[in-house]
Amino acid sequence: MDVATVKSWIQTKQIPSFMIFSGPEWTVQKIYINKISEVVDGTLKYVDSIADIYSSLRSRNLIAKKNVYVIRDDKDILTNEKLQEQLNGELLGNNTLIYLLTTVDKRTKFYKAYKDTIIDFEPLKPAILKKYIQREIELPDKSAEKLMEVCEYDYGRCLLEIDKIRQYVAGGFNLSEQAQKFDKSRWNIAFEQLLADGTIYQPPKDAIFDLVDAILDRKVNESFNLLGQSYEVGEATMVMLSVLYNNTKAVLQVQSCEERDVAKNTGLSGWQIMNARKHIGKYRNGELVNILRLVRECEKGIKIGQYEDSDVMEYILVNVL
Amino acid sequence: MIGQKTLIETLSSCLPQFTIIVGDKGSGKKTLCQELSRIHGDMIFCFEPDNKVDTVRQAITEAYKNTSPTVYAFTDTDNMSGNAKNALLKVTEEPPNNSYFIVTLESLSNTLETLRSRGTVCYMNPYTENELYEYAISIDPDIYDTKWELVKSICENPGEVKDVVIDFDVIEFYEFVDKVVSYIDKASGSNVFKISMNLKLKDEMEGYDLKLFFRTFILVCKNRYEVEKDIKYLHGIQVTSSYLSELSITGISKQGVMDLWILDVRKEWM
Repeated sequence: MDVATVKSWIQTKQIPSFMIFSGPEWTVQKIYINKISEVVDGTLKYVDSIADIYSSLRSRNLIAKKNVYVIRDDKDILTNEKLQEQLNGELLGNNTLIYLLTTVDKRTKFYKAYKDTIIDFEPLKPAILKKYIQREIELPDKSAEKLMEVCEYDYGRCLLEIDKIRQYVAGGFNLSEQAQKFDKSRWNIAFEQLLADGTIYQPPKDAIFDLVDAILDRKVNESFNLLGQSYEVGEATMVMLSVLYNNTKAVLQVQSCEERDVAKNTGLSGWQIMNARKHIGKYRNGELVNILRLVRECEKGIKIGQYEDSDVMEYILVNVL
Repeated sequence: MIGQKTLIETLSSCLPQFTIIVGDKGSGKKTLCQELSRIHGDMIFCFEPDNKVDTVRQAITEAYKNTSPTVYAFTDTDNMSGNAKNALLKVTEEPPNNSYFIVTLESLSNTLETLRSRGTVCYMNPYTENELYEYAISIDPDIYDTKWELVKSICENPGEVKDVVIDFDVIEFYEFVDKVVSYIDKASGSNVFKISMNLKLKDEMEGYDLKLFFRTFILVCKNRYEVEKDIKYLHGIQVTSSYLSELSITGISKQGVMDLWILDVRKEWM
């Protein structure tokens, strides 16, 4: 089921007593949980496990107030079928229980039994997320999209970064002047400054292709920086070697091709040729052959245990650049 | 089963509780296991479907419950995971009664030192020309002399004979390699890498086997040297032989081997 179902429950005020929410959008879940507690007029209580409330659920009190319990990833609910039956039956009485599952293992019995009733909170669509961001602070489309990108399209993270921007704007004494000067909103200026100084965290990107481009362009500092970033995201040395090898070979083929029809002569695709052309002239053909030899020597060294794969890329950079 | 008489005799008289059979791809390791299952008719042979750790553990669990002699055969274990090898090590340290284990490998270096020390290592014997001919006749009764001359010059085991006789035309293959020898130093640097488009450099690709290609290249160079007495062919043989030995390294990039071989041969010949 999707979020629309919960919406319809709230609109018709027909809230089931036991609900299962799953998915990464915790912030959106929280909005719906608050709304549900308003609709059922119950006290919202976050509890650690079903065991904490089980005895109070069993002993009914006629004058007790309604509660909306929220439990995250409780193992008992997940595995105890008898308990699941009780929760779907009379155990909850007037109370409501929302069971949050961070991730759902589709192989489990629980999933098979409840797959039609689990409400999936999928990440918000970019267009909707952008609207939500712009509702919070006045950011132009481009900046809002950048914010979404650095927050990996997670609404919760977007809100946390928006909070940082708000704090910065509240304390930024000359933001209004800069905003006038650059004809931008204060929010936008604050966002750009926080992004530049690293207060808004930008996760490292898949740097492997940029790394290989930097090596083939003979950019020394950039190559070492990107190598660090590649290790940060856990890129495997063998993959780096493979991409470096293939791209170097393509540059060599394109650079040494004297015919007009490069694709026909080299057997490379149009995209590969276009990519290789960017690096033409940075190395002589002999140097490119040496890179190929070096990469292959390192690859062979790793396979036979002669080289440690963690040192190989630095070794290549030192020898090539 | 063709050939391997000594090995069959040894293993049929007494099968060790843990046997490691080592031999090249196509040398008949799996066929030898099947032959052993035929010879040891009183034993139950289980050919495991894969070499995953769960399969190994399942076999070990069963091994402790056996009441009749059972052989568990794990074939092509070169890429077996570390966990699976360790699981196998545990059971082979003290094999349960009535349980026998056979693993086949292309290279002994692809298994654990400890596992090696616990097993009886058997190497597949090289095949004689007559044995290979017997096999070639069995799969292609119409094989003619010129074709056989070529097959025996480049193939070392039945698996390779099968590839050459059944899967592609060996005469056409020889002509292709001959063309490579003629043009490898004349083609442009960008064009020459297209040779590898005709070779099987990855499992999912189609084309000629790289090992057979190198052996045929050596054969063509040898033949040409006998006629032309040009020393460049001897250099070609030297370079190709060194690359041929690299192909036995597990997981080596065949594309990389091929590219560097092209560059090296051109360097020698140009």
